[in-house]
Amino acid sequence: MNTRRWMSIAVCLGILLLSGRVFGETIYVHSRIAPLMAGPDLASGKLGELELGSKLEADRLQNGWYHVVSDGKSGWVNRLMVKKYPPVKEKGDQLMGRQHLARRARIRPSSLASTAAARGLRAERNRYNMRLKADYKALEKMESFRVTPQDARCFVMKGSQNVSGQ
Amino acid sequence: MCQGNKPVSALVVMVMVIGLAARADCGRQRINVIAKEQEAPADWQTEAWFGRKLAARILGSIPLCDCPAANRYLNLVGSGLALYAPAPGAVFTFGILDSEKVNAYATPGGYIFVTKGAILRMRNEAELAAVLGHEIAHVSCHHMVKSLGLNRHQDSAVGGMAVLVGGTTGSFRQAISQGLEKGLEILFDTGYSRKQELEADRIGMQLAVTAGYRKDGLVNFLKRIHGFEASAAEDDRSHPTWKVRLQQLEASMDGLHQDPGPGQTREERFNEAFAQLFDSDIGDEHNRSSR
Repeated sequence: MNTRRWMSIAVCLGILLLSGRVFGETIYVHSRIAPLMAGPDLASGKLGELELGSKLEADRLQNGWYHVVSDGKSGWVNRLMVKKYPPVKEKGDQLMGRQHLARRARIRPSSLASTAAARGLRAERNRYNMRLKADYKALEKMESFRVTPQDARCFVMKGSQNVSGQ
Repeated sequence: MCQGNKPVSALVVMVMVIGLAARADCGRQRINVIAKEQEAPADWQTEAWFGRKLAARILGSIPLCDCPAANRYLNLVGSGLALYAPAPGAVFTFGILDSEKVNAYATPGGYIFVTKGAILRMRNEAELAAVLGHEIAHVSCHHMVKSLGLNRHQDSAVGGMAVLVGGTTGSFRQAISQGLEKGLEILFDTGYSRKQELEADRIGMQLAVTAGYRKDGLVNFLKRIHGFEASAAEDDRSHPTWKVRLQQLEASMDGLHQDPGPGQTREERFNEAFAQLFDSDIGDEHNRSSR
């Protein structure tokens, strides 16, 4: 009897300790929208939508879906759309960060040589640079076609938006 | 008790050790998470800066298609998919390249291109969404940065790519130039690794299905262009073999539970948006042969 009791205790302890990877994990939504589903698949009914940065408590992982609780509502969210750390807050124009990065990078300029060498970025040949000139005018034109997340959301949800207008 | 329970005690100790090891591993993961959290802001910004330079060079080689309505529609479809992508710092921009070849490209930060030749061989929005989803996955998974080896961080908070971005000297500029050259080589010649391509297929399919499209969009498109293997072979270098790709996709499809429903191909608005392309001379030629 004692042996059985010890074995039961050991198995229970093992399960508890090993399952610590999932139980009680805090996860964050990293996509702009993450559907909260009634079950761990896309055929289940959609209970709602979670927004970017939503903090969730996951109690289990099944077939690539986390079972989570959000605002008292429980459901399943796709593992693809969440990570275990909060997303970065956007700072408007993402390119504004370049000067900041430049300052940070210049703290250790001597690291460039080793970085570039380690990454295999030495000047071995130059055929793409010779062949391809940058066309920023065309790029700006392409950027003018960007749509807002709100427009994109309407387009997905309605599925019948007039697409011919610009 | 002492004699009879030695094996049991050993078992208990073993289980405890394994459990504690797992806990320790969790602890290490948490430390990594904290490190990633600190580095993440720089990653997206620098990737966008680098990706924009790459995108400008792509457009320097292949012109942007002069079709505003089609480009606008492409951005709506792509941005709709990107809503579900785990890329919080990316600003996705989509463009149609005026090329008859069948291909699509993505640069870091969210610049995504599809050739006119590829669009002309698609039959509906679900197929377009699948191709765009594949490219969005490349961006979300930082495949270019990983392929260039620029995701590895040094002992300071300055990552490899940030170092490249930050410099102003001739050496810095040369390193950036070489980084761009390598990036273009990946896009146009060598391609991503097989593992990265298959990962992009799988995630792209998930994005498309989450946005409400049929799950067989990419499989149908690949099967169709596989029929044009003679012309597509030259554009095939950057991807795993058709057979492997289709096998993996079909396996992923089996794991995706989706109810078939009406409207998931959204063929009508696809045809309406791309009418200008389909009505062009090239379009007529392809319409006759492939649509």
